Amino acid sequence: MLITGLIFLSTLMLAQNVLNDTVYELSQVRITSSRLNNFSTGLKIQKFDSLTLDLNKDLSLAGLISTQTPIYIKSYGQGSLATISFRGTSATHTGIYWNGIRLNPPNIEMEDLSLIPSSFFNSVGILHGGSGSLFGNGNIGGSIHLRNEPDFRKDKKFNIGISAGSFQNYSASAGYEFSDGKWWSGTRLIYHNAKNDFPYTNLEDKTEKRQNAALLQYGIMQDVYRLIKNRHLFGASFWYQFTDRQIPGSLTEKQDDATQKDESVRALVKWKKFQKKGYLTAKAAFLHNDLHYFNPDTITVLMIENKIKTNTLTGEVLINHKLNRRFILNGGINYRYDKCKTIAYKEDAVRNTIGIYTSVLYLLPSINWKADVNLRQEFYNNSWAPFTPSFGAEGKIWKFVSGKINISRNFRSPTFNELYWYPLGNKDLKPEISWNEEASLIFRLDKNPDKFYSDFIITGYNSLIDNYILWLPVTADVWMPKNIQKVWARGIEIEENAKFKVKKVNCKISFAYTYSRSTNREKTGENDRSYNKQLIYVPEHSFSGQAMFVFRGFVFSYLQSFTGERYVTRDCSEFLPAYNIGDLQLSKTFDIKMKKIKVQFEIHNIWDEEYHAIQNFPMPGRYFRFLINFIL
Amino acid sequence: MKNSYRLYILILIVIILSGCKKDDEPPENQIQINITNGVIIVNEGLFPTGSGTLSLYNRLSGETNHKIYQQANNGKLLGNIVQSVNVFNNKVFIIVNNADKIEVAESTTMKAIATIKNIPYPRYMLEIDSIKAYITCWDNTVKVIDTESYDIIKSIPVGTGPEKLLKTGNKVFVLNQGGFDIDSTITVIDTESDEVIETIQVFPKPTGITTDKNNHIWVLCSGRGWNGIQLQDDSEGHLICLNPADYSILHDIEFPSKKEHPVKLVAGKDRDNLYYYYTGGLYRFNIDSINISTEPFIKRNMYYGLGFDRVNDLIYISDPVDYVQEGWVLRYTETGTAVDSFKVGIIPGEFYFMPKLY
Repeated sequence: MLITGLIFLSTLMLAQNVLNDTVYELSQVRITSSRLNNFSTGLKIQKFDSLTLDLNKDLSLAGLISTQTPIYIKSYGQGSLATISFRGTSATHTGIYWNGIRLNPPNIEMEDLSLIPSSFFNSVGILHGGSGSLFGNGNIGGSIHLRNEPDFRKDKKFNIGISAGSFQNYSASAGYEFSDGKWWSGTRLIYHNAKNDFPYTNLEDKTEKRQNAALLQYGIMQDVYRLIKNRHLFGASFWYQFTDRQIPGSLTEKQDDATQKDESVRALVKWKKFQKKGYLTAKAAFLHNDLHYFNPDTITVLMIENKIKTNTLTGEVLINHKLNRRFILNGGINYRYDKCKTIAYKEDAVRNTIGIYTSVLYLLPSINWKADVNLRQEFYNNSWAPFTPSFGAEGKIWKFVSGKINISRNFRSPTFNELYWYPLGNKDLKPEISWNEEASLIFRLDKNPDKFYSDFIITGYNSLIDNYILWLPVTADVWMPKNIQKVWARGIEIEENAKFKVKKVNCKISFAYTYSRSTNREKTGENDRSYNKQLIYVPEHSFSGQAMFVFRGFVFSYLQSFTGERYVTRDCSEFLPAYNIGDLQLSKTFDIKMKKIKVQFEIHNIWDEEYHAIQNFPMPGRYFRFLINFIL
Repeated sequence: MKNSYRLYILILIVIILSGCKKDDEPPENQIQINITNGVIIVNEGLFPTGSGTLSLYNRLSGETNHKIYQQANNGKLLGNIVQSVNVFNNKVFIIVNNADKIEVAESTTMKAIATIKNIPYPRYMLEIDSIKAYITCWDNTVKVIDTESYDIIKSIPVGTGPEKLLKTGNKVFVLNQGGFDIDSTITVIDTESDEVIETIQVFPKPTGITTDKNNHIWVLCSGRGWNGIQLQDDSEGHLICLNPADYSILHDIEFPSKKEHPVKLVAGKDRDNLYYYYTGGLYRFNIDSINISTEPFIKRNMYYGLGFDRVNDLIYISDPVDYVQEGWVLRYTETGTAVDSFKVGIIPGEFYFMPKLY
């Protein structure tokens, strides 16, 4: 019955003229062409289109990624810490970049994606796979690139939005963008206040409300760009953010009153000079993070207070030069100073890193192929980091089939905590080193994109990470980080993105499935049963799918994601059950003269799935959100 | 070409709409749990997100039942961290320290009876008479509870981080281990009046206590510091013998190294041999000798819990492996011969031998 209905529906769809419309991402001319776009040959890049970003403005980056992609987000609950597990690796193996500047704090090298508001960026890109040769330390699983790309078309845009949702969740955002052809300014503000007291089932099988999970967040991002005679581009960006959160514990613990405040200041200046055959970029950035954790336990020995301050100064100069029709050269130098101050270290931790890199891109326009070689050498605190070369090639294979391959060497240096946490840090740690290989086949049907567009991509990846760092007990008292594991991560990613038009309805249907096998290849002792077992918190199967329909200002979007079982013990004796989450979004934009009002209604976890992303940390069941956005 | 589009969309929609259905978990086998003649292994569970479990080893069949509390109570979790158990008056008291509670279950069936809540970071429990029990708590008290009504009758202030306790006559000796801090005292409580009658100054970090054949008390003081790291103010361990009547120290044996700290203490069959962990494994000490051995009696790198089963006179050693997977129990005779080993739950920390023999 269902099948015949589907055939009928699909026939109906195809009978119509399929037209290209707003669902498609506008490929605007980018003045900020970057190494991400030009020298990542052979790697898979995924970019969220503007409509997706607009619909999910209210979400954090963690929410955006967990609903829109099959990438696993380890979330401790609504508003709580959320980190990324990419291609079977941990959060320390994924770099988060803001205008090309790595945000991962040097003490833990993992970024809390729940703190990053999606509405702050007009471009969010996900680079799958190892990119150490391009971006250096800590990009083994993948990397995420956040940007605000200036738009010098003369325009003024002002928008203000408010939202209210279940569990006393309120937020407000505002944005102002302006350009007179020479200047471009973008201002973004957010405010978020949530109690997050959602109901959940406790150990006694009774329903109770989550306590101590409130969140208050506000932030501002300001970008100013100046274009001079189409030759010089100057830019400055500033990002301030403050978050005050309560930190709820696991269901198996007594509920305590821990809180955490995170304050960050990030500033960036850049200059780009366009030349006849390329460009020159110089940029400098300052990053400051201030974290204050406090658990006021009544038992004195259990009371914990920790203040962590990290400061980063970084500068980079790069030159891009088109040698001839065939060759494009790129090279640069990057300097980074990281400092972390915390009572957990005996003295302030400092790291100076210099990275030198060069790339050669070779174009073969006659057969529609290109290939690149990237080399990068970093040098930190008087020692050589592992050399990271990469080779990539991509191009047309046959008619609508194209292919990509990439092979790279990558590394992750130990975090400050792993090195200096007193007295457990291990100063003898070596960097983790990996070899990553991947290949993709792309089947693109875009002969007549007005009617129908489809991208089907199948990617296989393989990587071997040596010297993998784990905190393991030396004795019952003492856990220490050691280069103990060898991890073999491999998998298959299958994705499909289709866009077509049925009558006047623009349709987008997409899905992505990931099979990720990530196993330990090293034995630690006689009774260790972790050899050849899947790493903890890496789902073998994950899926996300979306059906979106746009018609006369209406947007209907349904998202379905599936996360497979995740083991929580290294011998795979215990696991967390799989879960299915469905999200529904409905929005309607009303045009009133030159102004627009967008009304949006969302149902999250529509099937009311009870699940834990982290063991015994409850997640909310079905909940609702209502948003109004004024675009003036 | 058009047909391929059609097929495409069809496949897409089928994939999108089919989704994945969660399988219902199969009901756990209801087994008859009889702990009266078994060994309970207390598994702490994953920290801080997991739940501790109890394993039951059946001496007759040689079989181990895992997660017996969950099995008897429809999968109900105990909480984090299960520190210890005590069985008396036909009840099993399960001390869950990071959850500030004690779960009470029927000793024959393991069915949950009650939860004693708001006990601040409880560690160990000791029965005093048919009703009264003492619980050491990390708010630096010993709570006196009524095991019928589950009320706290009294809170007795003791030293820092009280842990193990031992009753001899009408005195209870409480080891003030120091928690994450340091203490070097033993509090003596009179069981009639529930009052502190003495605070004995010993050496830093008293962690193990047992009695010998002469009814003397042996206390193992681990010394300041942690095994595995060396800090400047580390101090050496001491094994001391106390006269429970006048609290005088009869013997004081000093360990040779400040870097290594002896832990755990049990007495063997005739209570003339004591066992403890030290550098490289399990050591044996004969109470009639004055010297401690420099070589382990049983060599092992990983060890955690230690017990002595008076039913069949075997030494129980637990191996937590890496604390992030299921651990093991290894059994040895008092001559040091390995008997067998079996898998238990995550971080096996304590043993409870039934029936209770002294």
